[in-house]
Amino acid sequence: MARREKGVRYTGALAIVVGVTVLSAVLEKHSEPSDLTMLYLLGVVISAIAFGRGPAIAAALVSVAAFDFLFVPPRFTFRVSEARYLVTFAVMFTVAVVTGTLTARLRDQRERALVRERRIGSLHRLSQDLALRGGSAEVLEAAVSRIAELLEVKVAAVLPDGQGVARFAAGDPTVLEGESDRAAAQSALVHGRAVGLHPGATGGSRGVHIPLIAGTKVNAVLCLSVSDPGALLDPERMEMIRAYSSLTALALERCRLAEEARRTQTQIDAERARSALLSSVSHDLRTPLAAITGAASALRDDAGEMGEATRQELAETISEEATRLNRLIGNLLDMTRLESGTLRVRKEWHSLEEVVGSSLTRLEPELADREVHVSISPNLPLIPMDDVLFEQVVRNLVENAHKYANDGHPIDIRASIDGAELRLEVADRGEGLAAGEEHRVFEKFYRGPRAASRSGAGLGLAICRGIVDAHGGTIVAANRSGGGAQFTVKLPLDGTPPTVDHEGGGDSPA
Amino acid sequence: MRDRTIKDVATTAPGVPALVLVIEDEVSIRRFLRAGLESHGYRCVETGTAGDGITQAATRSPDLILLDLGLPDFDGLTVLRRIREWSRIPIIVLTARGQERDKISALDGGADDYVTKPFSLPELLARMRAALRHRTRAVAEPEASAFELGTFRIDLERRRVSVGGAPVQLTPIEYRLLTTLARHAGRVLTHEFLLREVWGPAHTGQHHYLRVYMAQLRHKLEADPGRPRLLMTETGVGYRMAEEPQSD
Repeated sequence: MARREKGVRYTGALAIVVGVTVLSAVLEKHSEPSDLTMLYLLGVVISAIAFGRGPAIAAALVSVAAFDFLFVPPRFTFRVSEARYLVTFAVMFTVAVVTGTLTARLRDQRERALVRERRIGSLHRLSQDLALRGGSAEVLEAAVSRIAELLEVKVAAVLPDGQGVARFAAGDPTVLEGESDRAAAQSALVHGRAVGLHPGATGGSRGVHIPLIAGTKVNAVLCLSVSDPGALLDPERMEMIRAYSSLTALALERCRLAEEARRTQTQIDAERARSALLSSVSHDLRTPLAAITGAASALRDDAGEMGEATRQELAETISEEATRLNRLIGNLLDMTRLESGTLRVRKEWHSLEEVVGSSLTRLEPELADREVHVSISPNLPLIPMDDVLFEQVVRNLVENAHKYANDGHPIDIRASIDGAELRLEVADRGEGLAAGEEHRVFEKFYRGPRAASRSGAGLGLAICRGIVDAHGGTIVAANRSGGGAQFTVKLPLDGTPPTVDHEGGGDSPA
Repeated sequence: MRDRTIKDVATTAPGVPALVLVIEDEVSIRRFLRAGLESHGYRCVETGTAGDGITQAATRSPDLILLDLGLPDFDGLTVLRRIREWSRIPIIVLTARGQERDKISALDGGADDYVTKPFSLPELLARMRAALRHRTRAVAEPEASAFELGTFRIDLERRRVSVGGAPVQLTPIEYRLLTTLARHAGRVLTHEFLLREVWGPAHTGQHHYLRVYMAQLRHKLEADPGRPRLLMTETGVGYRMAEEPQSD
């Protein structure tokens, strides 16, 4: 390839000299021989510009010979009749060589500058590309495909797994097909030194494996598979490969640090949430405990001076506060199960009327004389839900409504089918939600500005949302026209309910 | 009905207070159970381990057993199975919240009923009364001729159901479901048990049958089907027919 190119360059230079000679033959009658030397010099300069130093010198030699043979008397011999022509030859040759050399050097410099520019350009594009990637997997993916494109080789990347063993992570998996290639990649990963830069010494692997190092840690290894190992020996290409690798290594390190920073932030947030939980929970646990301890000790130490009504009242306090404590612990457990992901949703086809009914039955002691208006469409189909969990949702919503509704106003529960969804609304007539509270009410431990006077840890609605989410549904809060708050739960119906074979016989059991 | 309820409170044979075996490892719960039960006319034997519980069940021949499912030496369900190998003593298990699976296993394993901790004494006494009465009835009067609760009445001989004196028309399956619940009034019956009893073994697992028929029954019998007083739901476990009128 290189040799043929060389031949082409010399042939080109020769062609230029031939051209100049033809032109000189045409112009000979009208000009002095010294003018013709100028033409030949021009030919040499053009050769230097077009083909470099070697062809320029060759052109100079051939030019002198042709000039001597064709235009210097005695013509058509290499003999020279006048001594002054020898000077002309010497000057002509020297000028040709000097201009040729200078021009060729300029040309080389220009070419090198172009190569450098291309290289810098490609590095720039790679770095820009890598800067846009968020995670290390994406960085590797981008780097591998860019490098493969720029160097026209097959590229793969490996990452260490938990045990420090190299695992294919991105790129062309065929690069690591061979046992020796995998071993070479592993070696680069373990020792942090490039493998395969000196072909022949790599134990059968034809690839080049370059560790991507940040500090003292090898984050990944780039594996290049080359069909012609000799081509990699080109210092120019080697330089490029090094530059690409270090760019990728830097980008990987950036991602790793960013991920670490994110993790740390998450830990800080979790820590903060935990301490908020602790202070909230310990307060909520202590309040009923204080009441129970006080009432119980009063009963224990009573020497008979307490009236029956007082004793009854104290016993009542113990019972109520214990119930409250039990609810709180239940909520905390539910929240923990929801957050740890151990909550299993067992969907079965349920009657919503039944689930709402049992929620209300359980709430009876707390609701006391609060009216609850239930309006469930009589032809509502069976709904796919986890009855135990959904009963909890209804209970928490009703409990919440009861807490914030004004005295004497009923709680409204409505259910209907809306497209392919169940729509369940629990609404009250109270103060409603403050601006911006529509989302915050579902945050755990959120207690609204009006919650201060009410008991509760701010978990009920968060649990509702957790359970509804786990069902694949949605829950939203909004203010109700005419005052009060309304919570709307939507559950997907997931297909058609199973059919029930109806009895063929009459209506009589006899 | 009401008369017999009062008579049955704490005796199985006339004049002899019922003996309750409490198998529970928490001392504070045993203390509260002893105080509560004795003040309501029961006699009490206590033990804190499963092994001793089985021995006591055999040697003391109690009238009823309260069995905690979380015992230190071995599983309460095992105790249940061992006792059931030779005895039909009424057993009520004490479970923790959220353990619907355990409740169902206990009921399927032969427990008569369960209460979820924390429970109140009146709640426990009601369950105990139902379990004892059911046992007495099974021994003494195998088939009652009628079931009554408030204004609701089933005439088992003439297969008639009425609410407030007005007859109610039921389909054969509705009637079978209702009488199955009534025969075990006051006790929880699991979904599987009801499906097997009413529809037959081929229908086990098809819980939606129960939901549809329970809804139909409630619409025919309950004043407010959305807030039942007669056909109670035990969420995640099964159904229970009320035995004592539920307060409104």
